Amino acid sequence: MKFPVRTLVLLLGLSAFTACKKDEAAEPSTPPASSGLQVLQSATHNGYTVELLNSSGKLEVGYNTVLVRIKDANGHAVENATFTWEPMMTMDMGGSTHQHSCPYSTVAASANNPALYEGYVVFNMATSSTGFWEMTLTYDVGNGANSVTMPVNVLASDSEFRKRYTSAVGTDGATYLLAMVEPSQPTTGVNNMVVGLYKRVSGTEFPVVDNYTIRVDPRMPGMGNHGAPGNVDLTQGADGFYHGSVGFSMTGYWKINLIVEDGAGTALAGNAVTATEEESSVHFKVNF
Amino acid sequence: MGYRKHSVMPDRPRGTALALLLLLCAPLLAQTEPDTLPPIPNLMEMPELEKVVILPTWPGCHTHGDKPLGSLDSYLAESNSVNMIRRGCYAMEPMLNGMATERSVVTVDGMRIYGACTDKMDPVTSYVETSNLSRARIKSGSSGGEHGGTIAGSIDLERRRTGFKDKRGWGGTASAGFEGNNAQRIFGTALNYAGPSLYTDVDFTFRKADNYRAGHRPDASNTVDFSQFTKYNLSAIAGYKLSAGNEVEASVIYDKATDVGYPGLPMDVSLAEALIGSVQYRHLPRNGPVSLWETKLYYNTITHVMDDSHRPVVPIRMDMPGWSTTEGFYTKLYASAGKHAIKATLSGHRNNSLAEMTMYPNNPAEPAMFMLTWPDVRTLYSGLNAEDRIRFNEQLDLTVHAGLGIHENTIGSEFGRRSLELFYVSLPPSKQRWLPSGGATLSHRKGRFTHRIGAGYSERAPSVSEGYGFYLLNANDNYDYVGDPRMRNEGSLSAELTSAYKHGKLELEWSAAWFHIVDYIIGKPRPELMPMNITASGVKVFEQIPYATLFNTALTAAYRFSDTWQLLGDASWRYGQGSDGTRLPLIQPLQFRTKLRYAKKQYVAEASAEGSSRNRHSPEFGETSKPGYLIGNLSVSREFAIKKHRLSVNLGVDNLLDQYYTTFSDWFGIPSMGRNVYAHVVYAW
Repeated sequence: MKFPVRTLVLLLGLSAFTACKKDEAAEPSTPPASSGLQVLQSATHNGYTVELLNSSGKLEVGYNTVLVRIKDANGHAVENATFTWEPMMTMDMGGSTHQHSCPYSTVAASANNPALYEGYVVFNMATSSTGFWEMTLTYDVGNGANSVTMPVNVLASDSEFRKRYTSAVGTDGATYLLAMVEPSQPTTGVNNMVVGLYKRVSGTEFPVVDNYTIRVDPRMPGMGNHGAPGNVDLTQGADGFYHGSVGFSMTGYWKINLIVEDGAGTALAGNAVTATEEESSVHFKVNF
Repeated sequence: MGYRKHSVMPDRPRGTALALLLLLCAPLLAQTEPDTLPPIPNLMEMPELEKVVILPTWPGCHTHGDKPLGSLDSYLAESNSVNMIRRGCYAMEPMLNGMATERSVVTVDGMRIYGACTDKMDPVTSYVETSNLSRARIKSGSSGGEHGGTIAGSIDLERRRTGFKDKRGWGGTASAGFEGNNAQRIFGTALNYAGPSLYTDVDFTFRKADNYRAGHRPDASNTVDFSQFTKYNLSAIAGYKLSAGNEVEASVIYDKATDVGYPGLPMDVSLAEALIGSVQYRHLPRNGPVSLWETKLYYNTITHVMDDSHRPVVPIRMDMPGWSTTEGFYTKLYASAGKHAIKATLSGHRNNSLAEMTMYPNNPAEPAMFMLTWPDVRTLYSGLNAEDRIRFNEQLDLTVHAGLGIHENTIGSEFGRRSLELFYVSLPPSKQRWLPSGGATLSHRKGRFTHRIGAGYSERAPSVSEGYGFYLLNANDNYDYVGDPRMRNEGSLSAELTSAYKHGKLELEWSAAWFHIVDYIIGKPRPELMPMNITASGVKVFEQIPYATLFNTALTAAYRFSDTWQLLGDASWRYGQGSDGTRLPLIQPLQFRTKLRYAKKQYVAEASAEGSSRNRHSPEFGETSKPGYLIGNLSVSREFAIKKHRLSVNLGVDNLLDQYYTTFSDWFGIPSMGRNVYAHVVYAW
């Protein structure tokens, strides 16, 4: 009915006043994975140069997409290589050292660029005076496995109005790690929300937790803990991440309160926000 | 033509007080009428289908005894079909037939204007002055659909224009007034020129008031804080006769209010500014069935800035500016043939309403928060409306009217559309609707009686706030309101009945109007939603209940003891109930006014009393029971002739006994004004 209505509006003599609809500025599309990448770190080994890259040129605590590229001695990117990697934090414990890893994915060839390999790392701690991160990459370009280790700098991501990574000890005694993938650029309205949920089994084992539910309750501490509708609790998708949505009614600082529930609906970490409990012990913070 | 006959016709407008104004004006009008009145044939006037509120600026009407410099609000309130919602001492919102402005259409000379405030702090009537206007034409129910879909009816504020005169001449007024209660200072000046081919009217009014005082209460302060205002209004209009029967006119009104307090709301206004302009062409054929063809193009723009910087304690500081711009046109034709007198209007307009809110957290490190409370809502309307009055004979006539409009709302801001998607998944940016209306009124006059019966049906689109409002705080019930763009039209089936009796010195009129409003739009609480405003107690979302019923009835009486003494009275009562048991808000209880008037030569003296019964309050909308009240007023005016000039002096006191009272339409329960002694002086040449 849209067309005839408009036609009639015009026929009725409004042509001089017909709304000139401004075309909404096109949403900026995600740039192709191969462009705009910055090298985070590189190392040369046996004539091969291995590079770690991402779009921001920096790594920070929480979820990080990391790309890998390997070049031969002539500087040509090598396709069809295979990789494994392991991030490792070495901490100075006042004389002794302690090492631990963090959640991370496997490395696979990038879907849109055969010369790039892609994965993610959820850093659970920032580089500091008492601890540093290293990435050990094991690559095979067809002539056997080789390893190269390079230091990486991980920045803190927490601030008064920002938090994209959190961890909590659940009532079951396990330590859960939560990393927010989306919204990376929050806006007012309904935002897709994607969170990685991991469990610490040991210092080097952080498997994805399956079939839990993460309840979402966004609040504005500066606005009397106002909460917006449009939220969908997060459930696990085929990619292993937890998907749902979060609603923001205005710009500003929002605290996204979370409750981690197991498959039976038992709350393991986090708490409901009430008149007296202003926040959940498990939460993220965004500010836009 | 028009007004003299109008005022002596048996089918005069309802409202004895109004009729009296007409009567008083009539002798003066009679002298100036041939050249001051627009040359509209009498048949077009159809006076019995509308009420007319004559404003004091109507030429020669300075002596009618009412405050010559009174506000438009106070004049509109004299009609018993109008109530004013008072959020302070300024910019009252007119309610027609017990319904607020989303259900009526208020125009200035046929121009649509949309207020720019999400909290209804700036009804259209706040951007004009009595000095710009000559009268307000009030049409009830579906018959008011000439310029847009309406349920309650329409109020058209007609511009004041001197009009073409055979003899060239200048005229003007200078006026000053003081009102003791809130130290309101009023200064005005008007200048006009009229000649056979040119007329022009320019006027300026300035008002400035401090906080007003409520009536006396023992051991309590009676100053109502944040009720001050300052208003400047400048208006100009000029007409030029191109040739016999061809006239053009240009008109502009600039209105600016600053430092306006709203004690009934948590915020004030630092600026409310309007620019209202139009050009029109009138063609008056000498022969043939068409007697007038009038076409107007208009534009108006409003900036409205809410401000809480004077409030000492607020939960959070915020800025809330709003903007509204409207462009439109109408073209209307008056024609008569045989028993038929026809008026047909084609009108269209486009409006953009945008309002935003920026909140500054108490933690200065925290970023400001921003939202759109009206997401750049674009309204496009076009409609055709026709009215035919069929005069069967001297006793019986029938008026039929019908109209059809197309209405489209579009959300202009993607930011705002996304925000509303919190409530409505996959919200389309546009919504179109048809707005039909139709009805008929039969009038019968015989001897001392005039009877009128009418019925009609009309539909309206949800208002900008009802459709697209985003967390708009209603201070009365303390809820944040959210609109629903998907709502259906609201439709109203109405019936009106009027009987008038006139014999000798006595005039009586009884009227009743009944509205059955289907899909009645009203805010209902949604406990699952959290309020946005820190102190709000919840969120209400506009929704539609199956129907609501509104009933209005009024009785007016006038008795003329002698040429000098007259007693007038009127009483009115309304009732409003939703089908789900909802008591409709802002429903007037029994109100009554009585006035004893003495008028002789240059003197007019009046003693009046007005009162109300206890209201049938609606707790769901935050209303409290307000006790009945009775207040008394006195006024005296005298006109002095100074050569050919006139000086009129009006002195009076309202609320003589300084009663403390609150009416059903006092927002947030703010008290009404206490004793107010005033003096208004007008010098005219």
